[in-house]
Amino acid sequence: MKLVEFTRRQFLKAGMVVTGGLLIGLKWTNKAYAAIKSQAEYMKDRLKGIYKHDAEMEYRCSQDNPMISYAYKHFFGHPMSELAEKLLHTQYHDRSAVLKKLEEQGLFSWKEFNSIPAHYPFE
Amino acid sequence: MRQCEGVGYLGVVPSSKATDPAEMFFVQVDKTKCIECGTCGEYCPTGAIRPVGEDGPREVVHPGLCVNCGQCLTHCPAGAIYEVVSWIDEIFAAIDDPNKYTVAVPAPAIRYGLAECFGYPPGTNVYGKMVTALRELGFDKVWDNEFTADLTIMEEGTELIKRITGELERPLPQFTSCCPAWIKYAETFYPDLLPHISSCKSPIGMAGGAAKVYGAKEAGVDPKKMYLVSIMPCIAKKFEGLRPEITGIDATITTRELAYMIKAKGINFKNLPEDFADPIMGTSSGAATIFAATGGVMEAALRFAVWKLTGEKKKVIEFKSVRGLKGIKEATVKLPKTLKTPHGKIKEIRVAVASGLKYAKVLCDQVRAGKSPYHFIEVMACPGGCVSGGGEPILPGVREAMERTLKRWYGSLKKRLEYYQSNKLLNA
Repeated sequence: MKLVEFTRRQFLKAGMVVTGGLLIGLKWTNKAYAAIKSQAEYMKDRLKGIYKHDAEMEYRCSQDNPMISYAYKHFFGHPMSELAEKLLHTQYHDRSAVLKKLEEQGLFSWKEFNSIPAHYPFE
Repeated sequence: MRQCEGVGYLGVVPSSKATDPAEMFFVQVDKTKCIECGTCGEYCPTGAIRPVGEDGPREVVHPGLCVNCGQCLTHCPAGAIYEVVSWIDEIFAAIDDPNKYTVAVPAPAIRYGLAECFGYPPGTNVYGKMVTALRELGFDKVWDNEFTADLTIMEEGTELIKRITGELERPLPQFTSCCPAWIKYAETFYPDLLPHISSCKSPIGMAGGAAKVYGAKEAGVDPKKMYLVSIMPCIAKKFEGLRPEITGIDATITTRELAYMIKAKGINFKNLPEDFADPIMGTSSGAATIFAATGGVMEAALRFAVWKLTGEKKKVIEFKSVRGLKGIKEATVKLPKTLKTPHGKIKEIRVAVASGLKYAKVLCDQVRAGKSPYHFIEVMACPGGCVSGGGEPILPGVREAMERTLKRWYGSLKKRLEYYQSNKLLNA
């Protein structure tokens, strides 16, 4: 019965509040979207700084770095020498056993893992 | 909890190298600050960060699932995610200890990220000031991770060529091994692909291996006294520094923690003169500095491999197709003559770059299915590469935009309500 008691003025007011709320909501979504967009721009700024510095460097290639030549001549011998293998190389190991344990606990499932989309929010 | 550039640090110091870092949390969520927006989950490549129940505050559910990339932390609009491990106090103590010879090794990305903590716009290179700041902090020696990045290219590029020619009996494509989050990801979710991963340590792993042998010898320092601090744009590097395969790294800090240390010592960063790292392990090339960017390791490796395979001193070649923020980038480099290899006749080298682990998954699945057309694949866990890593300063806009719009929204809502209330009173 209350609906009937609504005056025309009150109805318009309620309508305005709802529309206003929607507009603010839209504006907010838009702003959030714009903020995410600019994140990619900032990331690009960082990348630009790197390539600018690269172009200014005296040596552009690793093999031209005189201290690298020095290190191989006086210490390592040549790339992948026995000494280089010992100090600069390694082997990594299977860690997948933990997934079985987590699957049992319900904390991991391959189905979920494989459905992770190849996309990031900043894009 | 200590705050460094707007990020909390619990300050846990792993008591010994015997602690298995795979059982430790490196990032965790402050549930009282979590606004349950789910942004962290959208950045997480493994599903490690999620609500505890059906919905609710997020949490890193198990260290075994987390690859420590920290993308959740750098994108959390509420600043609710904190770092667990921090060596700041131990480093300050080591610097003051006369029996310790402290060495700072900053990563390529530090010089591009640190600037933002001192009011410079993103992308500013503050290499000279960074070196002076490290000296002012009291480090006995400042070396550069870029030197070992060059060393990585020599080793990794040679390995690639040997894999292609069949001199090394290891499968193709070869994956890069510089990114510690990628390594943990591969070990956990794609262990069958481990033979594809380059046997090279990451640049800081090489610095750890070389500093206390080669560096100590050249600099005339007792390696037992040497305390090597790796300064990284990365939380996963803290994990890497603790793993048994990597030796010689005593402490790892992020860009944010370095900025905190500089500020804590009252150093006026903007007025610092410029300096250079100590040359023996500090001189570097452009190929090393681009390690900080996605596609950088690939471009650096191509600058070496193409020179090596064509056998001539070529002019610097810029491989622009591997640059930029695209998720998967490809490039093909034609060889002057066809190579006869155990993998068949190779006329060109085909490479791919994954910017972000979510894209790496696509390439990994391809390799697993035996359908990968590539010879060399670079993977960086963080979209954009190390310079957008989990240890870098929070990008402008991540937190402010949310705060600003939310505050404005609440503000206008409040006004509207007040206006409505007063009108209601008038009408009554």
